[in-house]
Amino acid sequence: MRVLLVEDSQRLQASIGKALRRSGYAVDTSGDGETGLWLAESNDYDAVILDIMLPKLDGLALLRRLRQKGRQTPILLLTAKDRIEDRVTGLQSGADDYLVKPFALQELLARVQVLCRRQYGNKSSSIIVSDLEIDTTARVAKRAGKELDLTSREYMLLEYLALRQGHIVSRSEIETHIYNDSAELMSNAVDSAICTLRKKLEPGRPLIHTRRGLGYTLKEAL
Amino acid sequence: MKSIRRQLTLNLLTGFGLLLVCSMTAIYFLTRLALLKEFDASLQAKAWTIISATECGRDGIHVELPDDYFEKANEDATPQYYEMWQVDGGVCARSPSLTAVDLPRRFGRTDAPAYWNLPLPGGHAGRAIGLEFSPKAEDERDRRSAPPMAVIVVATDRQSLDRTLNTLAVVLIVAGILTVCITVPLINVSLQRGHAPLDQLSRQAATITAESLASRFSVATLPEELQPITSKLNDLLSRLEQSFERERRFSADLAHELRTPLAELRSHAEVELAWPQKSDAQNYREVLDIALQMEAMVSRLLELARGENGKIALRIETVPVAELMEEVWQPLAAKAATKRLAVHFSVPRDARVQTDRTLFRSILVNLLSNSVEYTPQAGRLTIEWQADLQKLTVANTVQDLSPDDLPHLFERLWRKDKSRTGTEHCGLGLALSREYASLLNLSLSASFTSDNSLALILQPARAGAGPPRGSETLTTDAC
Repeated sequence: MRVLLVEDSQRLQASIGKALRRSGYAVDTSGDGETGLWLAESNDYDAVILDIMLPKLDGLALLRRLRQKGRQTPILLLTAKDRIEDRVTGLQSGADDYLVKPFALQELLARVQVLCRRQYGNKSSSIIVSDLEIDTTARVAKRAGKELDLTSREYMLLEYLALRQGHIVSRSEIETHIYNDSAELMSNAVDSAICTLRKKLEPGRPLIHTRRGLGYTLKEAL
Repeated sequence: MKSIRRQLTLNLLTGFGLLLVCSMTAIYFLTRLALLKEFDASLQAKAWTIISATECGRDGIHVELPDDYFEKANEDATPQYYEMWQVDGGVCARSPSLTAVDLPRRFGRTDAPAYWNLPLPGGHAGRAIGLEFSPKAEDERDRRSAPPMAVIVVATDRQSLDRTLNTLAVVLIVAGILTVCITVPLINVSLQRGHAPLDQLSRQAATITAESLASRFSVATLPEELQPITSKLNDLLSRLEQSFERERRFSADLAHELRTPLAELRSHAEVELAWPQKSDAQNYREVLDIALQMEAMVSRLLELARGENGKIALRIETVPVAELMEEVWQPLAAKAATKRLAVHFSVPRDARVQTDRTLFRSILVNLLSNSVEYTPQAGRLTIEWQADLQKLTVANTVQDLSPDDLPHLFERLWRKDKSRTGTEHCGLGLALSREYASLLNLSLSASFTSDNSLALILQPARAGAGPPRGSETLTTDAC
């Protein structure tokens, strides 16, 4: 999952960015509204965490411009403005969620997760594909009732494929949504990650299928 | 509790009552006087009737009245009596109704008879007239010699007069009481009507709360006596509204200012707890920076509160301005150089000021550090001390500031950058400087100069003598 964090406090940007990355998200950051808008328009994010009081372009203006251009990326407003009118204005401007500073990190992560899940039309915290069950709240995957030992990136890859079960997910989509930047990516990074995931999903019938030249799909074997 | 209405009712009633009593008393006594005068005239007429029937002959003075004159008179409700004496002799005539009792022998002149009240032989109250007269002579021979003088006293019952006067008194008292009884509700109704605008004002005032300070009393519809008070109340409301708004904004800004460092601290700690890593100095530095930022803000707010409450003790001494300026500038010089600011100092080397060194230094620190912070790259900064006026001007080029921002410059926590990005300045410096300036009897103001620079001016709040003119001036340029 790729998340954009637009926050002018460098310290907050660093700690939230770290928490998101450690939770398996690919994170882009921006310290001002103009760069944030450019990033949000140029990339396909699963969620945007947006401060309101930003230099150059404030968060609400950024939000309105994105919505005017038809971008439906889920947006969470993260701000020190705590009045009811501020919340109402934020939500009416097109935000999907609103969180007031100071906040509990776990709550922020849970809300971001919900927004990402909702992006793919899944409202439940549980995704089931055949005998594979993914609990997105506990961030645990089980195959035939047995918990799988996954790294956070492997988990995010599995969750991403599961959220789009039955659809073909291209290699570049996986690169965009799972990896932080191109520096982390080797030419066969996605193939190798899929290979590792397949092994960890064994034994049992294969769930991840390759569509040559197109990408991968996760679905119950026919 | 004092009540204007009760006080007015009491005063009006007392005044009206006194006026009524005086009027009634005057009416009573004037009427009494008139009735007595009439009564006395009637007595005099009776006396002269008897005198005209009196003759003086050789056998003495005798009265020629019909025998039944007094019997007829006494048949009326008002008994009448008379008695006549020779001035130097005894009784020469008396009415038959006087049995063994004599009337008092008291008299005045013919043209000024004596009148007095007396108890009548029957026990009733009566009134008498007494006068000295010369009876007419019976024949020609008697007329040639001087007739002897006689005294006549005529008395009559005055019960009817007293009854009339008593009736008048009762009528006046009853009329007075009735008038007072009618006046009380009339005064109440009048006062109620007169107080209606006050009641309306009171009802309107009762609906005003901290949330509805924007409402104002309608002045046009009020009586002219209440208009000045209401205008003053409206002014007060306006000042209160501004003050509440400022406090509300201050609280909101303060909460916002503290929320961000708190969020930084909390998320930093939570990240470190969730994904522990080997502790390094950088982590502690981060936490320390946040703590210092919050501490600086709280300290400044406390200083501001102390300043506003006048709890800062001043120690006035002679402070060398140039020396202090150099001391304050030293830590800022590096940043000014990094920003390539063109700095121009014009401070007389021997400039002195009588002030509290600590507070004056704090003002200088705030003004200079603000200027360095907000002057754009390669901008211009001028610091000038006018010794004769004891006036300090710190002027710097500005980028985003407009004249509309001037009224907000000295508000607590106000910052032009709505995002409030950055941690060094929290928008309290100028508010604090103005408070300190006020304690030092100085004024701190801001204006825009013709070359689009912001000038912060510190000068005596009231005209005062400055150091001698023509003193040496230290001029420094730094880039």
